[in-house]
Amino acid sequence: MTTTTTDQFIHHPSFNQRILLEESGCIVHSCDSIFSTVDLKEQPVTALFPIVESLYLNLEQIQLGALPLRFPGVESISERLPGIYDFSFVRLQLKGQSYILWSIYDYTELYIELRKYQQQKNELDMYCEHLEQRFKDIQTPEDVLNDR
Amino acid sequence: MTSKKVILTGSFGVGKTSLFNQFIYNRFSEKYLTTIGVKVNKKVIEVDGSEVSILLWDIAGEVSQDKVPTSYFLGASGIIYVIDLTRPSTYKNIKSDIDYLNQIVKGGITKIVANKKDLVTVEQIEGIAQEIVLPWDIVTSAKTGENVEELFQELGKGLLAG
Repeated sequence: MTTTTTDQFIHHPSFNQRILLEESGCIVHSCDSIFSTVDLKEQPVTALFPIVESLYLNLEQIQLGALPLRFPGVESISERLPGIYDFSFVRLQLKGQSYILWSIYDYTELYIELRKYQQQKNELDMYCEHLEQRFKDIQTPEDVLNDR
Repeated sequence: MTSKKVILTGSFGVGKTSLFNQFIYNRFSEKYLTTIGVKVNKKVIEVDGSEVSILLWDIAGEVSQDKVPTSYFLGASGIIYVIDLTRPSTYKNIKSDIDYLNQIVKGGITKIVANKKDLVTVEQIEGIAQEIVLPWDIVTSAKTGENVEELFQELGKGLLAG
């Protein structure tokens, strides 16, 4: 496999990083758009990313031509990826060799904004539940006074 | 060493992230921060002399489990379904949720956890135990750490046996 061949698959805008993994989980090539993998070459990424570690057995079973496995909203614990990303994994065959293509989409800003609204909604829902619970307990005018 | 993927799931605000943080980092925060998507970390525990690496997935709370992306459950060996003892809405769908999860994660170990023990009395816990349609496996407090280690020990035993 030549660098030119892999470059065709991994040249993407900076919000998206594509990493080519071999069966062992080691990085073969990466466009490094989001984080540098220079010091990660030839070591399994499973050691650095628990999410990949916990999926690796499943990734090995992805069939060629199968739809990508998608994991939206991954809040990474790695210092290399300090945001919220969508991950997808798909099997590729290049020059007779089989690889897993790991795509990382940086949606941090979008997810942070979404979290703000989700947080407000959840807090309101919990407050409504709390009020419903309190009103259920109120049977007499005395209960209202005691509830203050 | 054996590695097992375990999912923390349940409705929003039940304390999944607090259980995650208490188990992984031994810490608790009073501040509620909604989880968007999923957070994954791992911890090695010793169960009956054997080491088990628990790869814990803390996923965003949903009122109904069929709203969780199914890819999150891929390869899971264990499910921790968390309810909040102070909020009846969090165990309203427990039966359908557990049925659904058992379909998605076939052959996995499921533990039902009643969290926020520190906010209720013994009498209240007994009352909820009477009304809930499925019994819980353990009552925890992510805040004080009560029974959190025990939960994962029990889960670890089940995972090793299975």
